[in-house]
Amino acid sequence: MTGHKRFLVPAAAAVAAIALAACSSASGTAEAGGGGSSGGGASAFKGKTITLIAPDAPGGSYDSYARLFAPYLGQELGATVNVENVDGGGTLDGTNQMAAAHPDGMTIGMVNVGGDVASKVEGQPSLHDDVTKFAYIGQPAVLPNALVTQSGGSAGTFTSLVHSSDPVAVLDIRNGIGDMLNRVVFGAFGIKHKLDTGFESTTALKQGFLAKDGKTIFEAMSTLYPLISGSQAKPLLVTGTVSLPTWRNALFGVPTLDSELSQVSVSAGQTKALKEANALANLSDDFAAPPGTPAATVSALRQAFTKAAALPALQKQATKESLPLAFIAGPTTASQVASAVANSSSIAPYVK
Amino acid sequence: MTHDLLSGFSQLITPEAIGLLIAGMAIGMFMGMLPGMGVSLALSLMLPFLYHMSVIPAVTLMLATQAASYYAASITAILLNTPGAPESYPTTLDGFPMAKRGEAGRALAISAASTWAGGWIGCIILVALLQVAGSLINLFHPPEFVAIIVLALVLIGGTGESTSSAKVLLSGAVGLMFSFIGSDPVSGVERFTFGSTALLNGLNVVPVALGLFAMTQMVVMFGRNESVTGGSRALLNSGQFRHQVRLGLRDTAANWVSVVRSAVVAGVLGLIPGIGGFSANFISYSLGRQVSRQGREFGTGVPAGIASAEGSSLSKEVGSLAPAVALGLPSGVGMVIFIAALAILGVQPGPNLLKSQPTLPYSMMWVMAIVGLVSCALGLVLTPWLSRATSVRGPVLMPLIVSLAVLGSFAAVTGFVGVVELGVFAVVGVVMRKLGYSLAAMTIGLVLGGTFADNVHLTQQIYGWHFLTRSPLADVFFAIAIVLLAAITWRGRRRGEAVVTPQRAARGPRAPHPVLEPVTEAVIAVVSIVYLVISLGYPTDAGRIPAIVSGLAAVLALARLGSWGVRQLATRRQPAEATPETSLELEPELKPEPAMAASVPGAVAVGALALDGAPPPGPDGIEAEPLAPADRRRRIGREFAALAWIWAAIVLSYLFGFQIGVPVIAAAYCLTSIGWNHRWQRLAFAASATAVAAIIAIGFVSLFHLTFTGLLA
Repeated sequence: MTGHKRFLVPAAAAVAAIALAACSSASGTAEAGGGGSSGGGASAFKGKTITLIAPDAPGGSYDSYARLFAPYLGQELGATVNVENVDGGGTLDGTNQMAAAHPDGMTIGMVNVGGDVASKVEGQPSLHDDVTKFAYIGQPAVLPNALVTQSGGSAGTFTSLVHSSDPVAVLDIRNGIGDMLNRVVFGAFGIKHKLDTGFESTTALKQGFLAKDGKTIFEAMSTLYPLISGSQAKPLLVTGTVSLPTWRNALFGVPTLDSELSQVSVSAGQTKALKEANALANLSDDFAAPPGTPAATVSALRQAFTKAAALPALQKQATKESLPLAFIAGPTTASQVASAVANSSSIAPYVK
Repeated sequence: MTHDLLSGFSQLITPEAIGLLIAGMAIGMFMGMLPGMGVSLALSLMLPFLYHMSVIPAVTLMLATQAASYYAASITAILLNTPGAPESYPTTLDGFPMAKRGEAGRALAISAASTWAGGWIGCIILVALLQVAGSLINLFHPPEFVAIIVLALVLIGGTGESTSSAKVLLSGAVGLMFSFIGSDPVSGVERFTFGSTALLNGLNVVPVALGLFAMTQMVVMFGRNESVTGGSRALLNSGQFRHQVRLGLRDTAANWVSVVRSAVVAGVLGLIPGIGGFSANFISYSLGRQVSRQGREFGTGVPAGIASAEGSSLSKEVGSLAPAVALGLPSGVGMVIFIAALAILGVQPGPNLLKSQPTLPYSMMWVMAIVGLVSCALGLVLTPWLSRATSVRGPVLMPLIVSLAVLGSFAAVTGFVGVVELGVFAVVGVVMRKLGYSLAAMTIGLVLGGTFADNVHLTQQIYGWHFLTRSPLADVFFAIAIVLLAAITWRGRRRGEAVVTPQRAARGPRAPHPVLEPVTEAVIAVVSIVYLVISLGYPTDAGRIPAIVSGLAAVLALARLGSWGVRQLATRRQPAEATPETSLELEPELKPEPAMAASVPGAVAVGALALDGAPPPGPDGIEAEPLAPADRRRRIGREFAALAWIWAAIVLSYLFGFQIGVPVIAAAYCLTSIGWNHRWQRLAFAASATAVAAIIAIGFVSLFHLTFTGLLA
């Protein structure tokens, strides 16, 4: 075969393939990816592969919960559950990817509703969908967040921050729960501060904190516990419910957002914003399916997650990994999300 | 500490730990050698198995896999110019030219010995710095990161991969521009995604590097229709291989300074999260080139080049254990997954770990040290068999490498966009190599661009312009970068004069290609201007640095275009006395070099890595003879055909899924594109290649639970 003909063969193959693809796209009948489970119900998942998107890097709290549930969820559904890490954009990238997936239940994900709502209130175009339209499957637990400073640093207590005349250098990841809490808490309490965004990941944020590039960070307890227990960080304020005994010990005596509200005099509007922020912060790490997922499929997923969460083996592993577990069922999560979204306007002056 | 060190070792002496060490090493070596399969895939695959394991065996399995895969990634880098992992690219620069000379055994021996020695030096650094790793982090703030990245870019720009510093700068700028695709960490704004959710997370380095390096090399080999050793059957006897291995070990001993330097640099870089992981090998190699006595010969297949690249490959991984264990901060993708594994095992990295389980970090170090030694020894033993890959014709290798690259690209991104990135960057890589642009500068720009932009922003936010007075360490790095830049420019000028050999002088100066060069520069200029305009439309925080980079790229491209225009005008005014030589070959023929061939038993041909269509002179200045025009056209036609095959594999996989697309394209390719003496040979090879492709595709899809089934399937 001559060189000329050798070129023609693959070129013809490529052209034919592209033409086929074009015809197929034009007809609009084909479907890429996924196994499809239009019928819904647990039996529809048997032998299939479900992709569970964790919107952070391996080792993060979303990833840890996704990997914790994956094998047991697979066991309940008779499917293989594959965890896929899509980090970036303070969890928005993973959320967008989940929301854009075909709504057949074969691609589900974890969602940071609090951060997403704050982004929407801020008017950012980054979140492509309305979080109230997601099909919520459940939430592993309400996770506390904490504001910490360096151990031995000049900021002694949260009250001293409130009364400080020098601006506090706050380190921040854009679009996360921590970002929303930083903006609302520092803004509503009137704490002078300078927000340094630009940290692309929790790793970079921790690194900046340890290198003392700023004074405080506001993050999930799962991220902060090693720093607090290693005497590298001192907690100043906590939001949410602290259920894990080790975390309770680490946060002993630390004021909560509610307790500070009763101590510090702020206006009704500021109080409302802080309460809204607190409610949104409780809505991280939710399991959800893309908008438009059939009700039967969502119901099967909800049942499977609930059963998996009750398995002693999963609970034992959660304890081993220091992951709080108090599973909240999908319908409850969905109504909490709807309520939080409907009552989020007061945070607007702080997050915009 | 001695007690902890010994206890750490004794914990590994259990049948379970030893068995998992061997298993991890085997998996790591196998996966590491396969382009696209790298360490992150291998480690991710293991995570689900860790739930029921205890800490020491699980850690042993993970780290043994990791350590072995980084060594193994160099094997294909040397033999086929196709690094198993992007980090191993610097090894190709000298390893592959040596393999082309028929000295693959020698190159593999240098690689193995340097990796082992470097890894052990890394272990010493780890032991020395583990307890103070927590304090070291206070030395590195955003200005220091900016300075280190600038220093890295300057060093890497001087790898000598391209003959033109302007092209190196343009390559780096284009790499930076690619790195800004996706969500901006400062403002959260999506940049250059054009509404595509697939691009939200930016470009992934695995498919990009596979496209730039592995696919481009397949195009070269298909174009030549020869084996790596230039068509000569380098089937050496065992005595000749043993001689090459002995020679390689002697080379390593002779270049111990390069090994130690690279190991120390990489070990220390490994301690710095966010910088060390990927760029350590690039920086070590580039530093070696600048300071080594043989620096001028780097890129032509010199032992010091391989030792400089390989001395760092395991050392950086050992070094990166310190921040991972002491602070929970990973330095590279392998360590990110390793920290996730520790979480699954209920181990919290941080200062408490050093107190509560003081022997564990030392057990980790011992795993790395043992695997470094055993895998490299195994590599030496396997050298005679591995080296035979260099005698296999390129077209025969192509179905295997392309299948692996397509699947590996999908797995790296978990989306077909990764495969599209592979195809796009295969084309980009071919154009860049033809025109002498720097693949290394572009890759490093892509990898470090995001970190660079974030830290420039943070520097400005936290320090303002005071960073120059508040960060003495950053000032030192900046000063070194400036001095190096001056030295590289000065040496570059001298080197530019030196490459004009009598043969080159007789043939006349090499001219830029009259059409492709200006067209490419015009394309870069237009794209940069469009990029600049789009950047200016983003909020200031999101658009500032992309605008500056694209603006500089546009100015540089327009300046080169202007310079070309002036040359054209001058040429028209003064009719040409002699037609300058132009070449579009990716890898022109080189004459065998008798002196070198005689120096090493088994050395069969001399070939220098041609990255710009103009091969550098051989060690004694012998240069390539240009191909006859008909042969050149035939070769270019074959290179286009190779690219078309790669794209056909991508399109068929998209339409019918990997299980059908990959084997079908392998069958079609084998039946039509490989010449055999007998029809039965063609059929037999096509049947075997199709079966292998099917096994790879089906096995891969099952193993990694990939859900892509194709548009029409």
